[in-house]
Amino acid sequence: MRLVFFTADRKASLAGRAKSPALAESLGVDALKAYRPEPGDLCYFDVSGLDEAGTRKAYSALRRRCGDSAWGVVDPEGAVADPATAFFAGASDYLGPAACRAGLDKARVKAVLAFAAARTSAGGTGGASVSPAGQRAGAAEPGACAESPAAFPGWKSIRPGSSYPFYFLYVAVSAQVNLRTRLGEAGYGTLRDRLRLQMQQALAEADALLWMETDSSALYLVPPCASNVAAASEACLRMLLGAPLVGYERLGLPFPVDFVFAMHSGETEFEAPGKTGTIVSDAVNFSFHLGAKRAEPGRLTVSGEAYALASPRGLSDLFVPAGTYEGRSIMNSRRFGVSGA
Amino acid sequence: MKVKSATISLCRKTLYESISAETMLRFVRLVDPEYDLYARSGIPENIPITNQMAAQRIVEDIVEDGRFIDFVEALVKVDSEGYMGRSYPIKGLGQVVKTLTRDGFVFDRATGQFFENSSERASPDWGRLRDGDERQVAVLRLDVVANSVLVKRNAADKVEKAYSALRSIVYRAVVGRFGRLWSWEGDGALAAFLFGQKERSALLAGVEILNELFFFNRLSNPLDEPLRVRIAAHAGPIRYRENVMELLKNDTLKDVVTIESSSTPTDTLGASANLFLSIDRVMQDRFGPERQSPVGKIRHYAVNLERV
Repeated sequence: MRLVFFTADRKASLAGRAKSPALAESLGVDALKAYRPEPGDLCYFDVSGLDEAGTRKAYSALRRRCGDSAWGVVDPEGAVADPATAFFAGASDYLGPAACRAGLDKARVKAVLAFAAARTSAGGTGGASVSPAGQRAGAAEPGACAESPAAFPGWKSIRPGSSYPFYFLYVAVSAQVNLRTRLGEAGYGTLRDRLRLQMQQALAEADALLWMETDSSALYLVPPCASNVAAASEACLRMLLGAPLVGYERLGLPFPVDFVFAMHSGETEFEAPGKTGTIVSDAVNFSFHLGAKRAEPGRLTVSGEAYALASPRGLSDLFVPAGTYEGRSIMNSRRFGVSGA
Repeated sequence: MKVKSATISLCRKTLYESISAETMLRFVRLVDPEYDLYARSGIPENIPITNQMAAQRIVEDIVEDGRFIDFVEALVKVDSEGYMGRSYPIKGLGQVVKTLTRDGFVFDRATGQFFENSSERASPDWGRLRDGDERQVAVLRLDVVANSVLVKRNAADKVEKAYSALRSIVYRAVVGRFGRLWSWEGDGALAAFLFGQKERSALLAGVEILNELFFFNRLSNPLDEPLRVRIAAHAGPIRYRENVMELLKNDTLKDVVTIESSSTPTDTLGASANLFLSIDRVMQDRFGPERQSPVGKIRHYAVNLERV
């Protein structure tokens, strides 16, 4: 595997503060014309100093030159107004100011390559694509991720104790009143049961698994496949828009409620629901922090890592940048403000 | 509504084994105050009528008048609550209810009413209304905006696909709330709600249709432009007619069409004041301020996105 960094500033580096940086070969931007990637190669392009039109041209040149191999955008000054445009153009990674400072490490390179492979197979190469483990995508087990069956074999074949990439969906319900005080213990228990049922119905298409549940929130695991993540994101947005109907009709609440959703992607060891007490995972911690401390009622908050798949075409304009949290860029869905026309 | 002969004979047996002919007459008058057993049976008033004969005549007449379900509902109420301060346990009534359930009805204990089981059948009269019946109904009118332009600009198969999706969105929202679609013209629909909290159901169905269309237009609309609608909700008395053209002559239906066409902006639900007072504050807060329209005060609901 070859990692190339095209930049006008020859002193620039992708290493940043990473403890185990991925070693990249730095080349001038003109060298892109002669770039001939092999399968599995990865290149990054520094867009510093380019205006919007120049950035667009760079994207199309990268798409032409790189074909199916992975490429990413480096934006140390945060000059790209809408990073999602890079993903729409075919990029597999975007390093904003915070990510540039953190540096590109081997784990991220691995994740970017897996994402690019997943997207390539989703884009129509289908059965011809070969996963890193050498299995044909068409030979995947039922429920396995069609894009990368080796990365996620499906819930029936998943092995406790092994690590897998997942999308984590944090779910909580919020109201202006203290729900437990207002409803009483029994009523609150009923509300939780109804909410669990409602979420399971809403997330059926996403094939999500209720993994952890606290007194006030829940964490679902979503398979790391484009269709599942998009379905989970759509289900959350539908619930946010329909919150008055869901609260009133399905949850039977006589006062308004809002939902809090947060999504992040990362790798974690898998244990069956109810046996997750020993799991130590940065991705799981971050998902809970993002949901409990940063996400706002009435919004779906998505980390930069999860954004590409969580904002399917047609819904991407519902998301806006919301700064960074714990060193990661995050996006918020726009609120559905409902009022008279 | 067609009642099976087994159900008729079960009801007859239940009546004559539990109550006297006089009591039967009292109960049948709960659904038909003018009912005269002697006149209907042709037996002179000076000749006593046995319980069996009375039960047979009453059940036959009530089925013929299309009031069998109403009569069973009245019996269920009497059985559970008593009548004029006295209890009247009716032996075997549970079996009659079970038989009706097998015949495609659902008994709602909260309202004490039978509903046609929507998953089996969704007839416009709920299996209950007869031609000429007058009832308080909540109605929902939906119109596709610029339908003719849409048909001209898009391929026929795409238009058909989009309209079929719209029909299923509307059907789910309406029939899922015990409502019925009374008409579906090329560019619009008319739905009605008769049972339960009908005003609330009409409003929530309208809200759900707008919410669903928001996602349909973004994710699966095959047309080159968004499918846009105007929806109006209203409530009032309706004289039910099996003929749709006759049905549309009702003032309540004329009013809902006026609210939709003249006082409701595109992609909006306009709800008349008749409906509004009967819904909870939770939903009222989702609507805009009251506005004057040719048929009274209305309030609007639309899906608005937070501005960036």
